[in-house]
Amino acid sequence: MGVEGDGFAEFIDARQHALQRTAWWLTGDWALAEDLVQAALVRSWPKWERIRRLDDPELYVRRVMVNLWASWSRRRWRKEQVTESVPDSHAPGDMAAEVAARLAVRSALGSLTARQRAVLVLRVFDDLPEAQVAQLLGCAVGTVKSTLSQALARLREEPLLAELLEREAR
Amino acid sequence: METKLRELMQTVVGDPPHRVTAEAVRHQVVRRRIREAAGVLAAVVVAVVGVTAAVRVFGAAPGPAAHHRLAASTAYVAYDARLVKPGKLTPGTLVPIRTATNRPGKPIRLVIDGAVAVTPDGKTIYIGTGGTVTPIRTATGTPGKPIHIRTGGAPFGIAINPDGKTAYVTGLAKAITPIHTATNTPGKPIHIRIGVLPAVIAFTPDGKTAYVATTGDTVTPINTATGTPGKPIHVGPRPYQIAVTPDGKTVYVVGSNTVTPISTAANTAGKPIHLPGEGCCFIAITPDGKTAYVGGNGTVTPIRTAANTAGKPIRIGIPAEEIAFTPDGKTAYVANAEGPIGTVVPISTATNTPGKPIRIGLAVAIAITPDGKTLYAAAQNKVVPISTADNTPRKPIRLRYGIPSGIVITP
Repeated sequence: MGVEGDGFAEFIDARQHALQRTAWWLTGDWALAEDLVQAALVRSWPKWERIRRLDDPELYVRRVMVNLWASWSRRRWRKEQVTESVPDSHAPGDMAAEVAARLAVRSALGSLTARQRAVLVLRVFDDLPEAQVAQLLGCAVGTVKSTLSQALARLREEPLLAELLEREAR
Repeated sequence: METKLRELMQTVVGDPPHRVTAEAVRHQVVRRRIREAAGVLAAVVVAVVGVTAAVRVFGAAPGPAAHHRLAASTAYVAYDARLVKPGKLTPGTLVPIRTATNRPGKPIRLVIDGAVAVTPDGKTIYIGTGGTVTPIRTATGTPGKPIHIRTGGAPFGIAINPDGKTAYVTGLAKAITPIHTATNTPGKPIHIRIGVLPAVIAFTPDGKTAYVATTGDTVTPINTATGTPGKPIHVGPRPYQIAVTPDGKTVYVVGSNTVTPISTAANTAGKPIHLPGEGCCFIAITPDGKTAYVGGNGTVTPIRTAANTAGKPIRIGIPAEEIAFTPDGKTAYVANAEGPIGTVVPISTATNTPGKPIRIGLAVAIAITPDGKTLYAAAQNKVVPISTADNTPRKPIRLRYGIPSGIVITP
């Protein structure tokens, strides 16, 4: 790592923001997101020699990350997650609106199942092609499509989110 | 809707407040590997002290000194320094908690980065502070002058010889540095072939030999009197953890899917014991030396040391990360230190059956008091005392220092 000159440190430097953002949408918490990314990298490091030679090392790391998150979710920690409604923010102007929007989306995502949430985050937020999402989650492309449409249907029922999307469209 | 939602999500997500650094990842890899070494050592120390304390209390004249000794037992919870952003570091904290009152004492602020260990007499704590090791006198709670070591980077492993005279420090450099505890000065580094990860060390109970496992698939015995390494012993692939039986006759090394016994008399490896599942996290031996427990992903496998055979894996459902025994050896407590839910599972060593998991919180580190009555489980922002009599958690001690990196208890 660094000293070994195997590109691991460079990979972390270059991709950690993207990975942490994905992790945030999965976990809804920066501390957990950081832990998740770190845990995924810890798992990947012993195999880095092999991973770095892959066409897309990031895809591998993301797969580890999503699998880890799925196993964390199975332990039902989601119930312990803060799902507070949009708070009165004292931040000025745009900041307050942004925070409110972020929390509204997060809260809407909280209503999804773990798999729906993973598909949505990878397909929509990360804009990964369906085939890659399928590869990442170890399922068929058809499953990705159907899971995504279920997730979107569920999100359409969230009034706060609908309002935000409406505003965004304007 | 997809496109609009994508835009919205990308606009509002914001920036992560902390950076994940390659160093931090490396620390974690190493800590996972080394943490248990410290834990097992503490368990042995605790067991020994526990016996002494029991003898004192139940002996002919249970004087006030014995009670005083027990009452003075203190748990120290370490919280690492954190890199908030490049160049900005928040210091770490070592919090003493009197086990008699469960009240936190004055926190000791240090740039904590590395392992924590306590001497068998409980007088000194050695803690990794970046490129140095800092001794802390437990009587006064004052940190001494940092000891500069040549191990390169953070001291990930600190193992103290049972004789209390030397502490072996491992880092990323290709050497182990001894620290003389009487003077707190570093000795001559012991050069051995170390792989990509720092070495893991276990001492024989008489303190005469240190066994060092390295990622080069070998275990090297070191004569502690002279500091000379012996011939490396080949073991199963990727040795991860190492433990010595209380009688000092056998060393057990856990690697991927195998446990290799080493006879200390001949320093030769015996037939590898194949594990039914993956062995990844720790190996620890009961105080009576009859059973070695190997942590795995969701299971703990008992190995009968008399026959060197693996028993049926005990399902605990969570990746086992740490283990601590009560001094009487009747109960093994297994902690899960990964993921947002950390639990502690008690296992009866007589029947190898798991009890009900006790939910603690994010990142659990555990240690048992010398009297064996209380298990302290440190997790994010709290320390939970658990009575070993009924496995019930007591009122948590709230702390606001984040995620703990280790816990030790002085006699």
